[in-house]
Amino acid sequence: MASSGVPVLQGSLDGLILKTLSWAPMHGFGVARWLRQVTDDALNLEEGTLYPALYRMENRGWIKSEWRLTENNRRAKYYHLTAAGRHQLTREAENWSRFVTAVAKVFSATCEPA
Amino acid sequence: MRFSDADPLSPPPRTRRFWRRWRPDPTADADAEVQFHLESQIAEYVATAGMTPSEAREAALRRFGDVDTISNVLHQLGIQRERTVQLSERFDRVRQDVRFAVRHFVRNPMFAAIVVLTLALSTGANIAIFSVAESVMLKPLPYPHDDQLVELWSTGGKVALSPMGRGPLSYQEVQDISGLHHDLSSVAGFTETRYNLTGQGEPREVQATLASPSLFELLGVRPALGRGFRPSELHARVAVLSHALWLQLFGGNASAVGRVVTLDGNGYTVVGVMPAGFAFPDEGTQIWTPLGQAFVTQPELETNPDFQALNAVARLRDGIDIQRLESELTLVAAHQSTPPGLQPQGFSAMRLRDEDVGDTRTPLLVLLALVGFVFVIGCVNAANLLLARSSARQREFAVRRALGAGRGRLIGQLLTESVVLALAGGAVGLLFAEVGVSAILRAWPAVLPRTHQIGVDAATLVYALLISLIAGIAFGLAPAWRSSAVALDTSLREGSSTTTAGPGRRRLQRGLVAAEIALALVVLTGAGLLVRSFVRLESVDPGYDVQNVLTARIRLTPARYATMAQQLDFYQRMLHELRRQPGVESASVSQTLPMTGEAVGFRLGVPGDAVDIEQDIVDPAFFRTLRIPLLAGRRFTDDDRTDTQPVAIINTALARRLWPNGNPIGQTLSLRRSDGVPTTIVGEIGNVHYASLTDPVKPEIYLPFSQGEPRSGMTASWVVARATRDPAGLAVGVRRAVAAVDPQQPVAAFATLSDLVDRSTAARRFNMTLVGIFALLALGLAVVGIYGVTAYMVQQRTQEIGVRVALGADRGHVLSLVLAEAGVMTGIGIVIGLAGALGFTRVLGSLLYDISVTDSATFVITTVVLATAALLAALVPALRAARIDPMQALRSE
Repeated sequence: MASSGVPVLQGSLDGLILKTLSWAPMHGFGVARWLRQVTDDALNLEEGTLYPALYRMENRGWIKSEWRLTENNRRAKYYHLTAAGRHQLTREAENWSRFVTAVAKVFSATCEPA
Repeated sequence: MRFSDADPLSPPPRTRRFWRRWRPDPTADADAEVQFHLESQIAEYVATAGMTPSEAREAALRRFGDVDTISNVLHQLGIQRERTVQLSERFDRVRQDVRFAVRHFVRNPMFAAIVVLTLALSTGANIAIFSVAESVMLKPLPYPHDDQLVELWSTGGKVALSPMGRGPLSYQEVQDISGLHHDLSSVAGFTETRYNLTGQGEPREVQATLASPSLFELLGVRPALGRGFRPSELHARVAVLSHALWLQLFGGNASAVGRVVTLDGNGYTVVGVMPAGFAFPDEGTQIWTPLGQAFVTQPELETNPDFQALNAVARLRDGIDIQRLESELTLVAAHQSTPPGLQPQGFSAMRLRDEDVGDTRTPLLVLLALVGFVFVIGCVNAANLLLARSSARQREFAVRRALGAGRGRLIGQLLTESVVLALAGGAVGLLFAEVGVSAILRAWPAVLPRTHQIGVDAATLVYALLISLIAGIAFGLAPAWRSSAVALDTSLREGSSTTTAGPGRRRLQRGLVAAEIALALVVLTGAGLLVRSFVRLESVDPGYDVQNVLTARIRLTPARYATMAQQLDFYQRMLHELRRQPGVESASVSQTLPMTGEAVGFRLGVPGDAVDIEQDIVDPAFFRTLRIPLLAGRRFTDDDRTDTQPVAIINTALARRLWPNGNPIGQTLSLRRSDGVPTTIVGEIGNVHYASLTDPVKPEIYLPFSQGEPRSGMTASWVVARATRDPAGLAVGVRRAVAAVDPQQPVAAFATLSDLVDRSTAARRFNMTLVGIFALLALGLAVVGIYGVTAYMVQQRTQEIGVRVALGADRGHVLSLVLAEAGVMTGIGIVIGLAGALGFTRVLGSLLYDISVTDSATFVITTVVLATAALLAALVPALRAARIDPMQALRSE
């Protein structure tokens, strides 16, 4: 359940969404569902907050949207990555791994401060 | 027909069309998205977690977060996005239209070049005149808050007023007006004079302005070097140099400040140098000295409160307007004493800015109107070309309409095309204007005031852009409107690549050509009147032979030539030297000279009447040198001396005025000589135009210098020398003759007499030449217009004509068929044009000499010229029509 999960770090939500959309065009609910699946529902995320992020990224030109019909014949807004979005995804991924490495180094440190 | 991906009229991609249906409401869009999310979540919970619908709903909402807050954020983001999308789509469309237009013209370079040239000529003329008019009429004077500066005049008192009812002020009056502390922050009186400057290389004459010490502060201009006058320096011998004189005398050296220059034999300490471009009261001033120096030469100026000889300039305080000032001036005037029998004193004020423009306003406005007509002709021509062109693109338009482009879209595209053409035309026109304006200034440096401010500047650029846009829309709208109204079925069904022009378009074309002809006739008639007026002016007999005469001005330094005897001695010795110089046929001096703007006049009382007479004091050789014919009696001789009978020569105008039926020779006049002896008329000479060729000849009396009255001395005079050939070459001789008598004496203002006469008519020649150029432009554009439309018509009707010829019509019939059509257009245009010309030429009245604004000969000539040119232009395509081979014409289909 969302309330019991790990909070999503400020600023990492964009990267998560971009990564999700890198597989295929998806609607907002699809993004939420996929994140839930991959993380085994471990994130504490109010899924409504995905939408402002999606809108902002669209305004920045990283993703584009279009209305399509779902397999159940319902109208839904699908988002897909643009070239700029792909570029941004690489950047976010690099930043994240640098951050993780740095934090990991701290936690696994064996010598006390000089 | 092939559409590329960038084609603006191809249908938009599917997704964009889909988008557009939802575009109107980004709010509803966001709500639908949230709704979809929640419903999907509920469905999932019901299906996989086995919740009841209400449980699922609660869980879904919890999982989503605060729906209202998030929806609000989405609404705002959505609206924001909608705005940027719309903006960028609009921008995209314009960019695509422009790209398409440019590509279209690159594919049709001839067409584009002709339209651009047409527009460049008409906008170029417009921009050129605008830049001149703007600089002369709209630009502020180069003084801070120039709208606060006013010039002050007297409107009564003792001195003769100018034709505009203005006269100079006395020093006392300037002082009295300075008392208006509440309205004026400062008042300065000034007067102009000339000095002989010696001690710095060659002696030279300089033009000086003697002004109240506050002048520079009042104008708000600081000297570039040194300082202005101090309040205490009213009577001091100090001087401020103009930038140009500083360069001439001191080579631009800063050490000039503190040096002493000698003016009329007195030393003046240079205290400052004004910046380049400072020109008060006009560009001729080379040096400024304090007003007190005028009291030295004219003591009356300081002592006599009625001695009016000063101009005055003042600065209004903040918030004070001219009306307020004038009412205050009325109060000052009420305190002035008015000598009996004279008009009571009054004062008036005028903004310096308005004063400066003076009489160049009317001709500039006329020129602006005329280039406006040329501009319209250019636009009409371009519209016609576009119309003709669009008939060849009829199928292209039809295809676009069929593929879903709306009429508005098509009009937008066509207008973009015309605006692109207009901007290109405007850019080339700007180039023409730049070249044209510098040519104007080179040819007529003295006709316009404030020439150093004239040029293509920011305002001109804005104007050029503006009229190009107006042109683009003006000439593009009608063709775009017409062409976009394509009938889809017929245009597409017809097999040929071009379709015949519909009656509507043909009517529009003919109407446009008629309008062009009408406007061209107005401009041509204006030009015709100015040319005929100028021809009359040129044929005016000035009364003397202007050829081969050199003139120069001599101003004797007053201190060195105080008495009449000294002056007479100088002139006689100088003339003696000058007559010995090579190339001199004859030489003389006189007090005034025609076309110099100088005149000395007095009022002669005759029984029961008074005559205003102008006088000239001359050396005996004057009439011979200028070849002024002697009509009766004798000329002056060297035997007319102070100790012989006083004599005078009069012109015919004065002879007729005083003795309408009698012989003037031997008559006497009382000219108030100090010895009381009456003056005897010994000769009558022909009339001479003094002020200008256009002013009526005034009664004139000539007195021999050798008998002159001591009080009417001749410190300033003109030298005239007739050359056997090349008069300009005599300058060296004149300098040499003067230097031989007095090496300290400068000579100035060398000019040939024919230059002086030309100068007096320069403004008229300026107007005539420019209007003439515009008339030729208008004529050329109209001819191109009628040629284009006729040629187009012939091309369109090739088949019909072929049929007619095949059916037995002879060549003459075909020829007259085409010419008749052109004739009708021209005829209608001429009728409208004549009416327009009758209305327009009225404003030319003040620019014309000796010719009526409705001069019938001019109207007939210009009409004939225009009609002939139009028919000749139509004759070319008409002959082509007459040569059409019926077999070929019919087969080509």
